[in-house]
Amino acid sequence: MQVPEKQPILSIETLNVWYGKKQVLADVTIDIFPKQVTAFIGPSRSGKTALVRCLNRLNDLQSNFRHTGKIRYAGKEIYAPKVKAAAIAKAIGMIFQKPVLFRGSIYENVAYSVRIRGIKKPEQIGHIVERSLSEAQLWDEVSNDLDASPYTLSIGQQQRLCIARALAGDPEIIIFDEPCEQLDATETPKLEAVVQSLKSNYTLIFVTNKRRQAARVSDVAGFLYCGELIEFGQTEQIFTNPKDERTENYVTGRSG
Amino acid sequence: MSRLIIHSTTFIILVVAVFLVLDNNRETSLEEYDLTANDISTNPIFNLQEDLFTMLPVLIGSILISIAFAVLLQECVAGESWTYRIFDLLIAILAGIPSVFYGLLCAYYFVFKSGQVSYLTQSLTVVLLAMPVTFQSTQHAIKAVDVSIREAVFALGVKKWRVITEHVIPHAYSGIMSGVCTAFSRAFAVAGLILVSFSWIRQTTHSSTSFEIPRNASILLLTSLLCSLYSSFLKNSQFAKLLGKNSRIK
Repeated sequence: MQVPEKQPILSIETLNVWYGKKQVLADVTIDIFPKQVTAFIGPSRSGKTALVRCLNRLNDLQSNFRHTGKIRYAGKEIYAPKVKAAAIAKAIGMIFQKPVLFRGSIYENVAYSVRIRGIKKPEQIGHIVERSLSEAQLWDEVSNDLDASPYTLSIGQQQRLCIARALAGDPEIIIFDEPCEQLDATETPKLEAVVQSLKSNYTLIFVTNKRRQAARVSDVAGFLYCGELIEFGQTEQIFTNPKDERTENYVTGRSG
Repeated sequence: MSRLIIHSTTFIILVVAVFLVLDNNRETSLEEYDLTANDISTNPIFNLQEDLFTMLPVLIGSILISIAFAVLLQECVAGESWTYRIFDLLIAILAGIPSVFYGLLCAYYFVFKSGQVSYLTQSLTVVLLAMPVTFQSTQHAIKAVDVSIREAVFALGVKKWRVITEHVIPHAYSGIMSGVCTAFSRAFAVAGLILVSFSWIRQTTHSSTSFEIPRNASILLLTSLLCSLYSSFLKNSQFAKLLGKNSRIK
């Protein structure tokens, strides 16, 4: 268990989110500290995804999205009028439920996000691609055929390729939005190992609806239920000694 | 993006080539198939090569504008807004009208009513024929691009313009191209059909026994057929896959 540093990297204050007329998040206040894994657990449709999508401004793509409250990233309000959504998304990477592959080879998939950073020299791109793929623990498996189509990989490998692509963009925070939903029992531990190894360099936010997985990977956990943050604290405390009855029911498997 | 340019250039060169090879006896066709004896006979309205070279830039221009407009409307105007709904409805209505209707209407108003053929009236007809159908197919092709791709690119911190040019348009490529071919096909088919019907009227009123399809009309119809064949090839997923694989190897 890491001792949290004093300054939070992300602080969310009384966040309310609506999609159209439906309110999906109500009065969420959280501080997320750097260099640790923060997990959000809860049953489906409890607002976990809506919450993390606010953090990298992906909700901007939703035309009926509306919010109140403040989100500060490194002290700056991310929804301030002059802040560009692309700049926020660059600093906060995201891994989705289903691996999304771009056109082109495995190498091109990772090199794309290096080029977005404005790096043009081929040797430098190659170097960053190799480093990102090794950080995602995929380098040994694909180093021989980097020019192959990424569709030849298994789903777990594809997901780790997406992690490598996010890492190549040099983010500070990485959001995992139910990354193991499509993975089988042999692939899931590999991805969890990647998450554990990334913890020392990045701030990770891990959304999952598998309770045990959250208990395994996270340092801090929050329980969301019907758009409300019921409880937020150290993972150990949430899973062994929850304060709220609803949390207890969920982590013990009595509900959700 | 480069694929788009290569394919459209090949396609246009093919169309021009068909016209150049087949339409080599334009003088006789002009003498034989003028419409009425009075005012239009002096106008070379059925001179296919000349018409093609004046109208092709207009056709291509209107297609490019409608593609750009469709991308703009689909990407930048929100899906629920008023403007979007009105444009959507209007374009759907325009694209739904059979193209022969446009052809006849324009022939009547622009040619017979005003008694002359000008560059402007020709252009207007071409624009009316090509724009709605290209617009609609581009719109559908862009709508069909998976949201997850857009989100994944956006989450990497890519600006909207680059998301559109580097990911959305390449994914919608075959849909857009088949719309372009359909627009070409419609334009040629309407010109050919109107030529056929007018010469039919003219021939039957003079010598009521036999009827021949004018050579230039058959060229137009043939080109139209080729265009729609090309369009359906592009729509076919197997063909698109083949193209995609080739480009990946490069």
